Amino acid sequence: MKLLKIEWIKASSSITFWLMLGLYIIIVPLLLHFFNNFYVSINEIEVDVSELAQITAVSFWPFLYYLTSYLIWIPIFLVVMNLSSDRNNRLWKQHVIDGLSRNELFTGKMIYIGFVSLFVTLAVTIFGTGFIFLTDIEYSASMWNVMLLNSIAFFACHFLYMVMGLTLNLIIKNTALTLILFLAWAWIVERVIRFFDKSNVTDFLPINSFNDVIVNPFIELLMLNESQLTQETAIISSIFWLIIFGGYSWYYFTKSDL
Amino acid sequence: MSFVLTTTELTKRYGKLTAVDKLNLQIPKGSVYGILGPNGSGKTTTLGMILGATIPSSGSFSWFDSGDAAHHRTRIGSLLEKPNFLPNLNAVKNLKIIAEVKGCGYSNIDDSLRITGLFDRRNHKFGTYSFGMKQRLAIAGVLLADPEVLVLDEPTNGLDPKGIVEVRDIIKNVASTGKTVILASHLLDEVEKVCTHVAILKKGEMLSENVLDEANKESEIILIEAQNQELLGKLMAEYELNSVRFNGVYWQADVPETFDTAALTTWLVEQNCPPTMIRKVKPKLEEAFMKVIGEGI
Repeated sequence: MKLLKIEWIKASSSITFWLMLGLYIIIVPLLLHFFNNFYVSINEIEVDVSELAQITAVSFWPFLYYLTSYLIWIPIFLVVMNLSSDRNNRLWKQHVIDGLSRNELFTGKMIYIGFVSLFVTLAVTIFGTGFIFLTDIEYSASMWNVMLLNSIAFFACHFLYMVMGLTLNLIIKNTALTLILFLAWAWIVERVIRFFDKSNVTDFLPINSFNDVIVNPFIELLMLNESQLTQETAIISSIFWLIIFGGYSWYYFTKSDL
Repeated sequence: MSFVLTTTELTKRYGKLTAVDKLNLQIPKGSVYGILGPNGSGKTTTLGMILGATIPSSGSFSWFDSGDAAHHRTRIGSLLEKPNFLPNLNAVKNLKIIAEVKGCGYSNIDDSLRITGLFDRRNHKFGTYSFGMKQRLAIAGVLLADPEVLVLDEPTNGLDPKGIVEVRDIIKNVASTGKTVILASHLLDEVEKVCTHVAILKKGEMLSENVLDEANKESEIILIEAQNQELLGKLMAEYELNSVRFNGVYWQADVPETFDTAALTTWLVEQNCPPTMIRKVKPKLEEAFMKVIGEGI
């Protein structure tokens, strides 16, 4: 509770914090609106994507969580900014000399990342629920189970990405460079490596593992021939990366000079 | 005598550089303990280690006789190097963060701000403060949880003369309540004015732990000048004076308070080296410090 309060005092006075969360809250409904009015042209006939996908309340959730996972860079930006602010103002050092243990320092950051992940998961879930009840999507009671499983995967994916962001920021020690390198790795480097690797071993690289924690419904829908880990394998691979990244961050907070 | 802090062979190395070398300190409860040393002597590194911010390479330390548990640090008010606060938060919110870390509640925030003269600016952002005000806020943070021990690293840095006097008064007031103050400084005057104990560090090693006793002991320094300075030096050594040294202008030596200056003058005249100036003075901390540091005045 103490750690959460400390992070809250810091975050709630930050314009960036509210700006990023506000941006997220604005973009998610816009994305839903776009999804509801998205047509593709098949043989010169305009087809509603939601009809094409035969969207029901059950099948809606994988699409929603998958599409909104593209907004992941907003919370990552938030976390990297939070870390940079703490580091640049030497708050970690101050917290330790004031009486916070090194483990609490690490736990505080994990709580912050967990809080942001929870916030975005709740935001998407609440907007998604509203969307189902406001549109003519066929409702079914079993949608809650599907929602729960997909929301956990969505939360986990965000948490994993942000722990990787935390680790990169601790290594690089520069806000802009961290974001540029992280984006470059996720969008270019890892894809290039996977493109040249025909053995599919590189499917286990971190970004691909994290992405595959959320099932991509378009692969099945559009029958894409895309290499993808099963969700179970992606979770195991992600746990491995979580241990690597989380372990480095823990080591940094507990064993290095501040 | 009980000690609030004991360090045993405390060492910090950065590669080949040894910043602190096997430091043994015992800081008595209720003392105002000055750690004096030139820049780069290892004062801040030492404080960083005992406050948990710097990991020692070897050796150990214990607060209140029971290791380095983080909860001990909640009983210590610390100012290490420069004030560390969030620039976009006002003074009250920055102090609330410290209060949360220390688990002391918010009730002392206003008092701490009043003591340090920042109450009227409490709702202004830290980023708008002058350096002196930032230093005052750091001291407000130090006092916030009514600490048993204060650890201050160059606390008067950046303060105007009025601020310096106020901070010294705060230290003296805290010390008068029986609390322990550990003060690192390169300002001799500051240490001399507030400290009861002084240790001198140079290149990470402790050169002396009782230099203030040296400065305040019942001994004095004799300063002598003669036309033939070379001969004077030889004669002073022959007279069996302690710690004969040349400070660039005068020959000097440590003498007891009861030392007979007239007898020495007579003897020097008899040796054909009449002094052109002879004076007995009380040693100041500065002289004791320079003597220990080994650079001469």
